[in-house]
Amino acid sequence: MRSNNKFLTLLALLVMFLVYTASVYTKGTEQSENNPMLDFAAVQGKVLWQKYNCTSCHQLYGLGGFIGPDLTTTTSRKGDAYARAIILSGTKRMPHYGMTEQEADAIIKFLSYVDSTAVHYKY
Amino acid sequence: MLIQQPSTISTSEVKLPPSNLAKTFSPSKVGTLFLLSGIVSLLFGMLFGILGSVQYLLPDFLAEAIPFYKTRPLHVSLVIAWIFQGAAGSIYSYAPASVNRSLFSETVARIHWILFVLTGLGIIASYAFGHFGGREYLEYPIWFAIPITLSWCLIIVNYFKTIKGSLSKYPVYIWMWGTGIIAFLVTYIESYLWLFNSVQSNTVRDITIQWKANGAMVGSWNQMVYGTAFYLMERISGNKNVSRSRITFFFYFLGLTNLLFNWGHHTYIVPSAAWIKNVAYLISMTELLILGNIIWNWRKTLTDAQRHFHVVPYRLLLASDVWIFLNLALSILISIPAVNFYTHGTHITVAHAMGATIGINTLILLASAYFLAITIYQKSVTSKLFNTGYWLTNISLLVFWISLLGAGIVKSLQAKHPFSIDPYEKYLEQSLSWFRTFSISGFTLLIGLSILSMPLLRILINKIWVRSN
Ligand code: HEM
Repeated sequence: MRSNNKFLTLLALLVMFLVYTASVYTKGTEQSENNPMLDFAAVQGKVLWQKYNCTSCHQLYGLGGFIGPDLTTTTSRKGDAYARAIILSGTKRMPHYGMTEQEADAIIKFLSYVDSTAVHYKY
Repeated sequence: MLIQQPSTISTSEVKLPPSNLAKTFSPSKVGTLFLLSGIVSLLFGMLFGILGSVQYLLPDFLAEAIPFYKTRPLHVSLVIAWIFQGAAGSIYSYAPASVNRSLFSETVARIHWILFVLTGLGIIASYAFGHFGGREYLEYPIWFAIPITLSWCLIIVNYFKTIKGSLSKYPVYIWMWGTGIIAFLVTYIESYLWLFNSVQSNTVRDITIQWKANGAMVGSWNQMVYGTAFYLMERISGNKNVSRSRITFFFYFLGLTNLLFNWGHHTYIVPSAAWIKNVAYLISMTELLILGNIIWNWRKTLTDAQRHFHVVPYRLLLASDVWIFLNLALSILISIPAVNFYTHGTHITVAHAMGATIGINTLILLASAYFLAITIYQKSVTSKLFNTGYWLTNISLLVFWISLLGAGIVKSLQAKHPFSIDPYEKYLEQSLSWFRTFSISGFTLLIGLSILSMPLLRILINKIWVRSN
């Protein structure tokens, strides 16, 4: 391969990548009725989700560990009360973290928010 | 019986080893250090993997001392650290000689190693004490990202200062190493964009960007590891054409295209823009097919003498080629959107991840470490031991991989859609025999890879120790 061609190919890829990246960052994931922004309580829930490393066992949209279920649509399928009970008391596999009621509520807010974005999977 | 070691290797077009590479080759000590600490990370990482797999079977097992939410990040971080250290070790060891120079700065490289190891120890301690940043694959507290980024800048400076000059005439592995180390920095920084409010408060965007960054990050280390495979192929065959040919450069650009654009196949189930997924689907996995073919064809060009003299790295490269084809078949299958809809988020994804990181990346990096130990450092390894480790590793990995596929298929068959497996505990029970096989074969895999690692540890420690005294 001629050296000029190599640099041109590299440059072309780079430019395409930059345009593509800018587009991924902004288009297709804009705020909408189906994709609302997190409110303050749900952001608190997300912070706790990360603090307790829930992702090591659970997935959201397929991202996360595999020993526990995907929780993307858990609140609409199982209900908030069920989710709260599990979060507060743990299960055979899930640790009992000793979370406060407020912490559990914030996490449920976050999960409900995620659930509300999963419009294609409600049936 | 000792595996015959070449006193030298051929660098001429005439495939007749030996030549005098070993005598003229003085690899950077930091390269050896990185490979050594990488192998140690791999061994500890596998221990935590075993622990995690046992916790699938016995949820109470060490549940207080080291629950699954600690074992998994310990496992994943340590084995990924092995891949980065193995790749950095290979680059430090081989890049300078490839351009007939010495490393720009051994001191900067040492600082890189010290920063990397100290950060790694800090991350292990924070997992042990239950402090997390809680992002998938990068589960450590976020401020560890600072020394990781800084240390990576050091290898970038060192590498480009070392190879400076006319890049265009260099073989493909110099390009691959270069784009690999830069791509890692870019994707790593990208994986922290969630710190901005417009990403943090928009989960669909956050997850889309996270998949983009993580997917491309895997591509970045693949560039470094495949670059190493090309380097080894050139050194073993003495044929400089392979790493300079049009087809190889075509492969390089295709690999780069995959790195930049193919991550979208992870997001079929995320409600983000459809065109991203279509782009990803079109270009997905073409890369592996070509790499598989190049190694396969390269194999045919070797003389018996070359195979004989480089039997250890040669066999590891060939085994990685078989794993490339197996993973390729799986990847093509799970890239089909209709299939992906059911397989995503099942252990089929884990099979895909571990099949590639063990079967392809680990075997190539072990080939690299053995090349350093046998060909460059002129140290022998026992062939019986090597054979045992080699077969135990590959057979165990095959069983391990199949068992993950089995568990994944059980889950896929139960899914109405990717997020509804009810009740989850029932699914885990139904997959128990697959998980049992996974755990047992994981254990024999640990033994196999340990047998392959032990001679390397001995030789590399000895080399560092002797050289510093
Ligand atoms: C000793 C044998 C091993 C065992 C028993 C083992 C076990 C495990 C377990 C239990 C998980 C977590 C799965 C989950 O999320 O539920 C995992 C994930 C993972 N392992 Fe291993 N592992 C082993 C060796 C390795 C090696 C040698 C590598 C790479 C060099 C590796 C790379 C990975 C990766 C990348 C993941 C994340 C997979 C994903 O999230 O898709 N493993 N492993």
